[in-house]
Amino acid sequence: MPDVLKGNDADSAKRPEKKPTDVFGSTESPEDVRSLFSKTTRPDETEGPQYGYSKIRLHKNEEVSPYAATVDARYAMDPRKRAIVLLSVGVFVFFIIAVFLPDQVFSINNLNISLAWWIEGFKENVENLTALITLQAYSGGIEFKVCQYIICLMAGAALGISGALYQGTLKNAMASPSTLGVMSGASLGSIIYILFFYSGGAITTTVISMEEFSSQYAGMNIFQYILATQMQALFTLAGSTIIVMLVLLIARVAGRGKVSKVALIIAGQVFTATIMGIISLIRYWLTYRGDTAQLEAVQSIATGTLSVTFTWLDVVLVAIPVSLGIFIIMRLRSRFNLLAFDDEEARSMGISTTGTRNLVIGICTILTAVVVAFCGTVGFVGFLVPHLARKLVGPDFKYLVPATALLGAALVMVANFLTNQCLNGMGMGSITGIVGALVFLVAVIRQRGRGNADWV
Amino acid sequence: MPIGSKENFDIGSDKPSNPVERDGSWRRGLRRMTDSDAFELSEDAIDFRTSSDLLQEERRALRKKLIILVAALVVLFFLSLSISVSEYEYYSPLEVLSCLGLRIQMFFQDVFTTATPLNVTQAMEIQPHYYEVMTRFGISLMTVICGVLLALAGTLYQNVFRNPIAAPTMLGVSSGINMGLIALVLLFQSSASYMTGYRYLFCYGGAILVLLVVMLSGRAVSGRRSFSVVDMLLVGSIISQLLGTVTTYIGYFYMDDTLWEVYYLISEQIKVNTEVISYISLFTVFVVGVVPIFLLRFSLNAMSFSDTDSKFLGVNANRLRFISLVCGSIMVIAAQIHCGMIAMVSLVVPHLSRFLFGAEFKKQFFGNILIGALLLLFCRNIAAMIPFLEDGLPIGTVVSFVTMPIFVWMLAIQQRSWE
Repeated sequence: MPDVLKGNDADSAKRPEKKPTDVFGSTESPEDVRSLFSKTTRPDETEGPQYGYSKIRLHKNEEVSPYAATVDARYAMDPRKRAIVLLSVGVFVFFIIAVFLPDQVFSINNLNISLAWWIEGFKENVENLTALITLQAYSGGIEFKVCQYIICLMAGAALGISGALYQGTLKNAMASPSTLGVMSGASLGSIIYILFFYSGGAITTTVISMEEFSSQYAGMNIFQYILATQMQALFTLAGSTIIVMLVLLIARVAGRGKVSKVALIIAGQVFTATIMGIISLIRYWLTYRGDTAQLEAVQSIATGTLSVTFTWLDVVLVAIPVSLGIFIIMRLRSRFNLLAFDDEEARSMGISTTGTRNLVIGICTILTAVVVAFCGTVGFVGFLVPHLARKLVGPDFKYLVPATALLGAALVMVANFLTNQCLNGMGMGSITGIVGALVFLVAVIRQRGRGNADWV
Repeated sequence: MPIGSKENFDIGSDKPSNPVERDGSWRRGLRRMTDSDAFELSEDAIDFRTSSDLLQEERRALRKKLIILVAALVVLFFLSLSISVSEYEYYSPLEVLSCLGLRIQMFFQDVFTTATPLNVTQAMEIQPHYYEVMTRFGISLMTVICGVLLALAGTLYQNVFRNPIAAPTMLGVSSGINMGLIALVLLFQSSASYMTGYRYLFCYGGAILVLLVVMLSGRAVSGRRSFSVVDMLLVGSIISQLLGTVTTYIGYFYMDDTLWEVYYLISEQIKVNTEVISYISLFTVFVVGVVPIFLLRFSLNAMSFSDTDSKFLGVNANRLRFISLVCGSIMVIAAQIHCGMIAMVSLVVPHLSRFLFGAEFKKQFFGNILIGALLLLFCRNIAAMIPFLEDGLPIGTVVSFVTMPIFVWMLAIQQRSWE
């Protein structure tokens, strides 16, 4: 063997001996071989988007990590799973806090920041909740608050998941649940109901006695009762589903049997614009006629927020479709990863692209329509929450679906909480935007310069 | 058997119908050319057209289309002058022509002093509808300019974001206009409707402030890396949402009904305002926004490629994207202030012009402008012709109704799979 290769020549004597550095960490002892199989990588050597699983670092040969004695980084939980666990814990804790704390603390009407008032309100809430849980008759109105937060939870989860799935299916980062025209269809449905079937004014909560209430709905079974009280929600639901079906039909007819995603998005936007035009015409007409009651109701629909008090019936009506939809999506979420590929590749990997796509669009439309029917048009959650969640856990739907659900639920609950504290509970549509915006700004600014959304 | 030329086969003559016997060709030893002969000969065919010939053909076709569009625009503009502004009546073209003639005469009388100088009152005695026609002229001119701005902004945004559904509303500069208006009304209270000069200042100022904030935040968010467009988009949508909500809440708490009336009055008056100040602002917007795009139209294709490809081409794609976004936003601000935001024009017209003229920006530029102007003018005419209540149809509604069949037709022509 030549001397050069053995390292015995004069040249190699001058050069200092250097061991090759391993990408996965030092391999000086057999135990460290396990580092080859760890899930973490050095962030210095990776390129592209950093998703939070770069937060664990292996210490280099020379340095000693300050946490080496306490935590062995090789056995840490997958950071994505850890993020989901932390999120779920956070959502649960925040739910408890939001229900227990008294309302109207930072309201502009009354600045009640005194500790005594807080403790009073807290005690009252504890009493009411105890009464509620032990199924007593009078629980001081806390059940409305509990129902409100439960519906916020479900609405946020539904909107977040449908937003993530729309963005994945349409392969467009700017897609949201309102792309296919759900929101405009919902507005149109409500307005049709108000024009033809409704004689009252804007939806407000009125306190009526039990006798009045039961006399109105005496002798009805449960379905008639639901029909009688939730008429507007049913019209909204029908309107949004009909509009989305029309959009799909037009996209299919225009594509002569095949549906192109660009055609779908454009058809949805065109329909939304047309329906908004029709709605503005209706508003002009109502202003001309001077019908103030109906006009108020229409204005409240068009601005997009509903200040409705939720009862247990509303919770059940929202929970059934939303939980069913989320259950189906959670079972099939790994399959939706394949939709990111081309049609032929995805089909060669074993999914039926048309069937999966139809399922996704159908379930997401139902989820969004149900939420919009009960809570008004909440537009920003479905666009923002998937982007945020993707920065936390990455684009894999196995982790993204739970993350968007939890993050959306957290966002809407926080927004509702802030609305209850600062304003008179004006509905969650408008302040969701502010909360989501601030959270997103913080996340994006913290992540600046590191792997931006180049995947778009 | 060799093939005879077509002069030998005279269809009109009273020769026997048997093609072989039709003339003396068969006797002369010639036969008729068949399809298989043509197929065989085509294999040896040489296309002697050079690349410059092909380019010339392309250019001629493009020019033909552009001339058709310009002619249509002129005709539509002239037709629009005969539609009245307030009453739903129509003036004859002769009347319109004589009004225009009077205007030209008044314009030139400063240069060539005539014996009887003309002013507006005398013109109105000669032509009773002079003022109406001139108002309509101003409105149509404004509409044409706004259509140009909207279409161009739409193309720029779609090229920058490489997304067929990118609309200029995404960057959220329209919320700045709202903010400016509310600031004006809150500052000057009831007398805000008399401040005609400050109106434009506040609106443009608010919108440009929002644009600056979005640009700076986008740059701050991108960090030391080069300017990322998607970051700016997300930040822009956030800021517009924030501003919109903040404006709504400020309006809810600090504005009462009289102030709301003033606000709606100003927002109505600002649209299609034919005073000199609006022309000045539009001219400024043209110079600041459209001229850079016109000068850069040969390079702007480079934005549509991926980042690595544009580096190969030697064009600074990021700088082009930045310039396009700034100019596009300025155009959208002006269009919104003077005409109201009509996102459909910005969405449809780039698709249409891409379909007609090809995907290159330099070919698409003029076609885009002309189609945008045509579309908006057409919708304005329709909106003026339909007697809907008092104020007529809002132009945004008409635009969405008109663009819907155009879109469906466009989608029907294209053969696409899901991709």
